[in-house]
Amino acid sequence: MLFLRSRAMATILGIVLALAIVQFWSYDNLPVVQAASNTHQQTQIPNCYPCYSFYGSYTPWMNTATSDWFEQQSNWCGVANIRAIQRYDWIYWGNNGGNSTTPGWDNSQSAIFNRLSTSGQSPWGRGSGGANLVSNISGDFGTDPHSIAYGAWYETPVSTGSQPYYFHNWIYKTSALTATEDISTDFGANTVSHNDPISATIDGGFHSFIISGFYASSDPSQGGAALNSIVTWDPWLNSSNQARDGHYYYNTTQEEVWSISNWTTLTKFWGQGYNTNNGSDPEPNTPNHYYVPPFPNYPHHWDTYFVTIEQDRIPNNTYSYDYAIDENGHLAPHN
Amino acid sequence: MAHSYKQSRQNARSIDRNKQLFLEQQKSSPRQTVLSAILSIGAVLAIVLGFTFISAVARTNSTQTASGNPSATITSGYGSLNYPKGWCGNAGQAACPPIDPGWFSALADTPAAIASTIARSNVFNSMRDQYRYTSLDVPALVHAMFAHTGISYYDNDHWVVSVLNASGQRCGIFDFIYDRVNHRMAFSSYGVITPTDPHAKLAFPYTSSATASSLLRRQRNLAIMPNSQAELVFFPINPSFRNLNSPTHLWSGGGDSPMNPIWLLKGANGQDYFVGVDQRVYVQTDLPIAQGRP
Repeated sequence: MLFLRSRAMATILGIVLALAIVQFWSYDNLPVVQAASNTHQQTQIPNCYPCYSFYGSYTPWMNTATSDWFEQQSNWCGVANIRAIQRYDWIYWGNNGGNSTTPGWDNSQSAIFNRLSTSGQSPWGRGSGGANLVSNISGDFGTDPHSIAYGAWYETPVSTGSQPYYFHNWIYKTSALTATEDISTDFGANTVSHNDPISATIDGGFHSFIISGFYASSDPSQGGAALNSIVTWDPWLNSSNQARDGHYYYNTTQEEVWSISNWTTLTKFWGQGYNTNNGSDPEPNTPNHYYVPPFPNYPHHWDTYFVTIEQDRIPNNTYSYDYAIDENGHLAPHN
Repeated sequence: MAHSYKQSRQNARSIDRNKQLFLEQQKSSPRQTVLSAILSIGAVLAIVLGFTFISAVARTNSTQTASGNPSATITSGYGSLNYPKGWCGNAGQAACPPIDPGWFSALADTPAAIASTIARSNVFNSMRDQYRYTSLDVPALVHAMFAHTGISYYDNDHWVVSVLNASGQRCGIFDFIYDRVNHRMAFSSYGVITPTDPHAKLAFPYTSSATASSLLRRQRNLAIMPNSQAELVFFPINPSFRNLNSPTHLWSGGGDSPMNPIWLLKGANGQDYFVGVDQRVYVQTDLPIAQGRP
């Protein structure tokens, strides 16, 4: 009995101490456990407080995905973005059970542009004016958000149950800050897109960037993270940071990390929403008026709002890339 | 009978001795007690951590079920139909918390002191592992000109510094907003300098003040005012600069951002001159300064 009592006391004391230690253990300090098919969210424990960790796309794959940048025509930022998303997604697919890291077709920017020019018409018709692409629903001088959503869906791998590739035009009618918080949920451990990059229209629609992640206090895909900065890729620049025409209108380097404060206040980014009065990025004008404003309670389709093309959880057989989605996950207002 | 009593007494004493010996053996030494406690702690921690690991893997895998109807296996969450895209600011949600610019104290404003301040900052240390820089060049102060925009980026000076990797190549460039009045700084942006970027071999700024003075002399036949110093400056640029249909987009002198500054020199004739990144000398009326919001 004495034997049992002496051992039992030490054991009980040990258990009590262990449970007490566990109460103070922070799970945020643990490396994130990554399933084999959800990779390249990079976390680390830097020497700082508060600390901001990177949540986003795998940089070596981003470098490959943007290797053919800059955009080959001055109005091909959307085309260049589609190509970057395509390349990245195929590399991901090929490294996670797929049989190839490249599509089996010509995926040059010019080939992508040609496909957008001749296919992808919405069920409600095509837009008129501007670049006159079949996949546009407006007279955009380049690729409008519908065209980019179609291109991203078309050019990426076929969806499977474990790796869906659904893309939609997301339209955030709230504010630059709320929209930024919303897109941050695309990055982290709890995403359907495995931290794939997204396309964001900036400067009122004049240009678009690739967004590949955020520095945040915690995993943005779980909600509640304090965002410190946003990682952007500018298709106007190449991998040597040379500008297409020698002028640096947006980023100074192809990959540039911006503070959230700058991202949401500078008009060259999201300091302004989509501007359909700038002469280059009008509202839709399809003949069947599906997304042609005005709408009850919402006078615009894109104008003044924050616009992206993102991978999401809405299957193509439910609502295809033809449908735009708002910040509440609802179909964008339509006629 | 006496023999049997004696025998039984001997047996009892023997039993007592054995019992005592047994008990002596079972007493744990202090070292054994501590070891037991440690082993118990370790066992409990192993069980708890193992449970945590298993549940983390299960959670990560929660959307990765294979085969079947794709729509049936996609769990709901951010990015689902009829589901708010984020955690704040949308219908029925609390407002998003205001942006924290991340100001940190910068009491001394010499380049060396600023370098030390930057190296200790949270943002600098947060990004170090991702971008692999190991040291900084000397920070350069870039003054904000014509700064009445109400936007912190344009209305404050900036400290800009290139950073080096372990091979001694420049691999990035940091820009910090400098609120001189309140002795504080905040992260503005970080640009990735790739190995094929010519700037990988150069410390910022990429044109020296001596070169700027030389260009003034050659192009305007002017020396700089004695006892004056060249300054790096930037200005809020006319937003038409970004409109490819506007003649403003042809401006090649730079100065539109702290990472792309121009040199301001006072000529010996008392007039201000600007040496652009295109190595051309300008006067103020040449600059495409924003008239309204930049």
